[in-house]
Amino acid sequence: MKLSKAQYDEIAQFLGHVQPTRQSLRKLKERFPGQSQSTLLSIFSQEYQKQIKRTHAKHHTAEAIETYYQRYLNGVMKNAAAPVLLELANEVDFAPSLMARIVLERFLQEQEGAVPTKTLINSMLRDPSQIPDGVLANQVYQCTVNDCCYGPLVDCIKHAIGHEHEVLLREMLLEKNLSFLAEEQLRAKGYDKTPDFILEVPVAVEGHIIHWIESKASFGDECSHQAYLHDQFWSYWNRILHFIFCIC
Amino acid sequence: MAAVLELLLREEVVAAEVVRWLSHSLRPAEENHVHDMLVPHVLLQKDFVPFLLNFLREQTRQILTNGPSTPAKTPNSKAIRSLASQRTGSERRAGNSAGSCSSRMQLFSQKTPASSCTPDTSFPSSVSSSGSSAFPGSNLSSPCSDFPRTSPSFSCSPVFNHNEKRSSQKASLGSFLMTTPEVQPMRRGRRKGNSSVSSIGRQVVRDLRRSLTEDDGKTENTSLSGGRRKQSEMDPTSANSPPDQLNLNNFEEFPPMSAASSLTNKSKPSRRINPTPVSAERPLSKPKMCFTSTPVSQSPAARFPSGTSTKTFAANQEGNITSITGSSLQEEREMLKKERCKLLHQTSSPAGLSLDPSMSTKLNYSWSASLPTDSQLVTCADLSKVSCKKQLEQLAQLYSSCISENLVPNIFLELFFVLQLLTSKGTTSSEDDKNDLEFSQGCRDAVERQHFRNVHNCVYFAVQVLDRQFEIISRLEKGTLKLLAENERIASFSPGLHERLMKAYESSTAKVSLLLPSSIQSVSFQPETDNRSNFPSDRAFHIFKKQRDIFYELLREWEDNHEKPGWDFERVLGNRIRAMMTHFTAAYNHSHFARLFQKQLIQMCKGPVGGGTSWGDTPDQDVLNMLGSDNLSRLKRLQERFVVPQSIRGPCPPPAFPGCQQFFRDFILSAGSYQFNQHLMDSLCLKILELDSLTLVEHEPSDGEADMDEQDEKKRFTGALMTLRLLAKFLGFLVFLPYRTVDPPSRDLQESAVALRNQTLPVLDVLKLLRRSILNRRTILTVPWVVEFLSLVDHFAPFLDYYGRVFSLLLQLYRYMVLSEDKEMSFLNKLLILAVLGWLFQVPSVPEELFFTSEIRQERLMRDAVMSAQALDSVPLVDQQLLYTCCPYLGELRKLLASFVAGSGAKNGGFIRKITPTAAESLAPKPSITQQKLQVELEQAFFHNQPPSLRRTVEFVAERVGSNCVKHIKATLVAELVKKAEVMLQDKVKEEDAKHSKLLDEVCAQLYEEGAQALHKGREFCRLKGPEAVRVLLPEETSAAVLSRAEDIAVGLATEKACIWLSTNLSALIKREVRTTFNRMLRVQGPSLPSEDAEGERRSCPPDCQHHAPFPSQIINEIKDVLCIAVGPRDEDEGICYVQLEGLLSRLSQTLRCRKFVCPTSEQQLARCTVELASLLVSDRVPIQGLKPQTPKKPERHRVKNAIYSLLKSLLSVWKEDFWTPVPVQLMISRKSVSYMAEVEQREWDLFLFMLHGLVDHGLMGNAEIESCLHSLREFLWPSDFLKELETISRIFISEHNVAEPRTRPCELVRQPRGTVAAQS
Repeated sequence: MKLSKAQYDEIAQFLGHVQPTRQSLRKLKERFPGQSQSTLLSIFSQEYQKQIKRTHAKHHTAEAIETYYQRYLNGVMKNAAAPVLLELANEVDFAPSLMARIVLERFLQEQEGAVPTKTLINSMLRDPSQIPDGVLANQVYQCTVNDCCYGPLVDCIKHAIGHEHEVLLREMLLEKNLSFLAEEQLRAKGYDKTPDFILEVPVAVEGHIIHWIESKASFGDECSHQAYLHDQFWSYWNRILHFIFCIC
Repeated sequence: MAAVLELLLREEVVAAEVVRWLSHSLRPAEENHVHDMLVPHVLLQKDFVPFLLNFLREQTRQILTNGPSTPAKTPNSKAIRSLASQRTGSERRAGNSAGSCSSRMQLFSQKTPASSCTPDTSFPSSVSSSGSSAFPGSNLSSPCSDFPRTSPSFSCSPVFNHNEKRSSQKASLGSFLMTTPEVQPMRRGRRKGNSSVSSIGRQVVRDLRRSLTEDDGKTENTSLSGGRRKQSEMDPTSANSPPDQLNLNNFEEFPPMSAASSLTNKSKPSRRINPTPVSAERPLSKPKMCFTSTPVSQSPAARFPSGTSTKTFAANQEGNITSITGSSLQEEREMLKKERCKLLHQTSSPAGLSLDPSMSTKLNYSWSASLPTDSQLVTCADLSKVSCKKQLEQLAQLYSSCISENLVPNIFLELFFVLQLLTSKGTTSSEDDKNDLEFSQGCRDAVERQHFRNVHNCVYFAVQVLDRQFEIISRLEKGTLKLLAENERIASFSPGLHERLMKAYESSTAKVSLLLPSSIQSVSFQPETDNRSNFPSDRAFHIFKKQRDIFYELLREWEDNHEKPGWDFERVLGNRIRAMMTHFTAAYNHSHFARLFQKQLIQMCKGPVGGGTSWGDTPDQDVLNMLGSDNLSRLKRLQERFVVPQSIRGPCPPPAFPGCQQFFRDFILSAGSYQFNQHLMDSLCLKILELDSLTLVEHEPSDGEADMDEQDEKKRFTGALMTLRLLAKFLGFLVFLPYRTVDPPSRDLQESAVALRNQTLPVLDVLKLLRRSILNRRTILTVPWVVEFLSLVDHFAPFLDYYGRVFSLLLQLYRYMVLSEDKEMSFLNKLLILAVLGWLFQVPSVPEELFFTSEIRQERLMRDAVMSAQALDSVPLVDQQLLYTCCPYLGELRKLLASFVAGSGAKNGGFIRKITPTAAESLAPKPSITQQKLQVELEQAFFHNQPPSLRRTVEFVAERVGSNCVKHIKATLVAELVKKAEVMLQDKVKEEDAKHSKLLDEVCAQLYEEGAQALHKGREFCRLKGPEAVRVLLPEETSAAVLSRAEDIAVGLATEKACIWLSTNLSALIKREVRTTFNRMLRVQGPSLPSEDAEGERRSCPPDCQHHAPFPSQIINEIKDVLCIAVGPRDEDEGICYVQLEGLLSRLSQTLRCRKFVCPTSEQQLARCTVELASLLVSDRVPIQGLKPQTPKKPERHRVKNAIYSLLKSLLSVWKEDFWTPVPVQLMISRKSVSYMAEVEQREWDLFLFMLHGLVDHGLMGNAEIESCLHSLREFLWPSDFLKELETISRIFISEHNVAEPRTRPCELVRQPRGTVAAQS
């Protein structure tokens, strides 16, 4: 689906400083009814991630962590059922999932006297019932569920979307009768880095010759274009030449 | 020196006494009675061994034409050799003359006994003037008279004064070697008693200058000799001139020593020295060496009765210190001449030494002439023809003792030498015997006599030594033993030894394969060490990713191309490497890359040579197996000769970077990055330290066969040792890299360089590690890698205080480690240490004087060593395979013996050549050469008459069809084989890593046999496809005959091409493919999901699926929204329509049924979310709206409940029916879920109970499981009333389930209203 630069800018501008909650997403949908939810979510997510990247560091200072933790403790002491952590995150303009992670890490550190492993934290975020403190478990869950840009649920949705689009792309290629080699075949052939699909017979799209297709299943703003180019595409370029950057 | 030997040879002392005399100095602590006659020579002990070694080399050099020379390590040999090669190319000749090195200044200040010259009347002096000489431009008339004065130092054995600085010697030596007209007046003056040290000193300078300016003295020689002849006539001493032609002015024979220093830098230094072993003593060379040559009693020229010699001379020395008489010098001079003469004779007539004057005129001074040519037969060594057995025996005993006592720098070098003697070739000559007597008469001293002048003597000596060194020999690998056991010379000379060797061979299990894996292991990626968490920033992470990409690209390129001619590492890769290195902006990237580099290095180079981790059994038996399994071992040996370089490097090759190591070395050199080198050194040090502390499980010496544990330990040790050696070599390379020079730098620089470098700390404290390893008795692990490290020292490093101590310690260890089987250390362990140390002492940059001159400081380390649990030395860890892997040069012994058996002559340098394989055409039947040639000619003629396009077409078709054939075979046969392999490997994937490579080899070996059909199939393919293509491509009008010819040729060419490729590469291809497949299997196996089996069963959608179901991502998203609202925070009026929820669940079911878009991650997430949703429903936390009042009578609450029941029912059925992954339903009874209930005012336990029953009824959870979950819930902190309720609920659940059996109502509604529960509690 094509989206003009103007439209994109408008959305991006609207997003400005919004919290990554379902309420924000709802507002976004109301504001841009012409766009699909996935497009909006993708743009929202990317914009928000940019914002978080800018501010990430300040939330991770020792002082900040300590403040957040104390505020959390005070909050739940007053009312354990209140959305303490979520509100805290919104208040300081930080992703709720990430806030949950900070507090959880701090909590575990206090409880076990050592910095917990990443695996343990991730596993607890995925399944809060593993968190030894019931209140915190609920708080954390509330954060991850309400976060629409970060957190295990969102990650999983993104992954699922990626997979689905790859399947769709394959469908489309088959439909168009384009002979291609998929990633697994390429790996079997010994490609160390492979895009999703290589076309056995190149095609021309809008005057450009296309040799291979990589599905990213996310919105391609300039920033992510750059990042992907840096990370992956030059590697492919060295090997296969022309490519299409498929954004669904 | 020589006097001691003289005593021995004259049987005045026995070898045992000499040995005792020798060891006296080394182990003064021991109570040793030294033979009286040896007492005066006490200070010479240290020099004796090198003297003996050189003596033996010199004596035998005529006879040894087989194999490379074995250097005798002696001081000054470098200079001599370089000069020799520079001037004449004949090291041996140069060596003869250049052996002197003692300090002349000392000589002259020394008082000498006036032992008068002994006119050797047995030789007619007329010989001297018979000028017909083979020497070009030289006069061979005896110039003896001018020699004594000018070079008293000449008679000196080269090993005497190694303590002195070379530089000082060089200048003076040369001057004395120079015999120029100017010198002669001087001599005369001196003889008259006017000589003075100072005048000689001036002369030295003059001569030195002269020697430097005169490139070639030959031009002057003719005139000189004329003059000299006159002198000799006048000179009374000249009467005793030896009866041969000798031109001391011949620069080739007696090159000026001074020239050496100026020329050293131009040619490579070499170890070889063949000094003229002058038989008599130099009376002047050392203060206390106070006897001169003692004329042997047999010699008619003897002046002194032999018995009196020592005492007389001792007295002389004390009494007469000041006189330097011409006669004493004369004597020296003469000895030299005589020696020279002998050599010349030998050279010219290998048949024996003919002292017949007429013979000497036919001298043909051409070294090559003396070499046996191919046509010559190997002399049959005959025991009965051995002369002077006694002396030989004594020598052998002495020599053996030196070997046994580790007095020689390298025992294997000596063994090699002995084997050279054993296998020496000579020509049979009847003159041998005849001349024997004459010869012995001609020699004044026993030392002078040529004890080794014929093959019989050499063999006799060799067999004697071998007999005494049986213990070492019997530990050599089986192939060597076999060759020794089958050696006919040993059999005829010593049946006893032969028998013992036979036995040793038969019982030996020491099979060693030096075969190296032919293909480099595939490049591995190691993602586990390089994930994002190891990097401080994304950028660094990505940079590193890229760098790795480039690195492997470079590696692959190198792999593919480095063997191509004209491929140059620096030219092709240099800039790319440097470009890549500039990416390193931060230290952490350097360290990451260094680690990657090191890992790759270990992976690729740990094996014997080059790549491959598996060894012992050779991994690439492809060719063998393709040929059939009969005669495997012979084929294997043949293959070894293909692959193992048969280089004639001798038993002491310089350190090298074979195989893949080359890449890493060149990479370091090309990168030229200081930072990278530093990080790499750090990384290497760390790894070395880590590996060096390897501990084996406490080990008890087992009797009998090694059990599995022991084998594993051995393997582990071997792995560690090989890795350590590799890493240490690279560390040494890096550490000494900045100081490395191709040629040894001049010693002038040494002092300042050493002073500077003494200030720096060593990168790795090898001294400490060595000391510790000696103390802890772990030398078997530490010494080999330290040796590798030190083998790369630059020329100055050994002179640094620190490394000097290291070398000294190693030397001490070497001396200490006398070979014998004892409890402290197993024999082979020692042998390995001795072998590597011996090798180290021969490395070019290790100074030569080190071995013989270093004072051995007796550190108490050896004795203080303690038996600890860590002690590795006592464990028999080394086997022959490891020994030969670490010291491949030991294989030279075998090659030498093998070449003797093969009888290959001197053409090949006495060695069997490595067979360089060409394409394996032989696999296909091959017509005879003439036939082939004719065929080619016919084809040429055929094409000649046809248009050129025909030829192009045929060649094109052949090329393409051949290529397609290979591809076809790959895609069909190989693919099938790989599939087979996959099946074979399927069950074995789970076995431990260590076995994998072996497993792969086994499987591959099975496949190779089937792979052999490839040739057949390939031929078939070409036969089928070739003609087709030719027919299509050629014009329609081509005549049938031409067409069929063209087809045949095309098919023939294509078949040839394909078959060549297949027979050379197929097995490697199979192996690679199988390995890749296997690795893939391992990867899949690793983090496997338990659901995979289930997935395998039903992999696809239902048959009529239209794939229109909503995407999983969408469903997850929707459920997430529901959860959001349920968990809150939410607006007051916010809620979810029941219909919406119902629809969601039904769509969920659809989605899960269509598998097209479902991936494991999304399915797992769906499972988790739905369980959460169920928990929220059960605790009534989902604000359900829009319920239609169907039955208005019922209250609102009831309707809501019914709605929930129905939703839960749907969920249960979805869980049971549609999910392929296990649903974590137990989370329903987790504390978190139950706590939802606790927070609710009005708890709905009936819903919970309903859920529990539902789980059981749907087979999602068992009774017991639920019970235990419920039970464990109680452990948490709950409000007391809640806890009570919880207990009641579990009781109810348990009792109900116990009673209600079988259950008929899976989803019955309310069973226990809450009121009842409360009442019951």
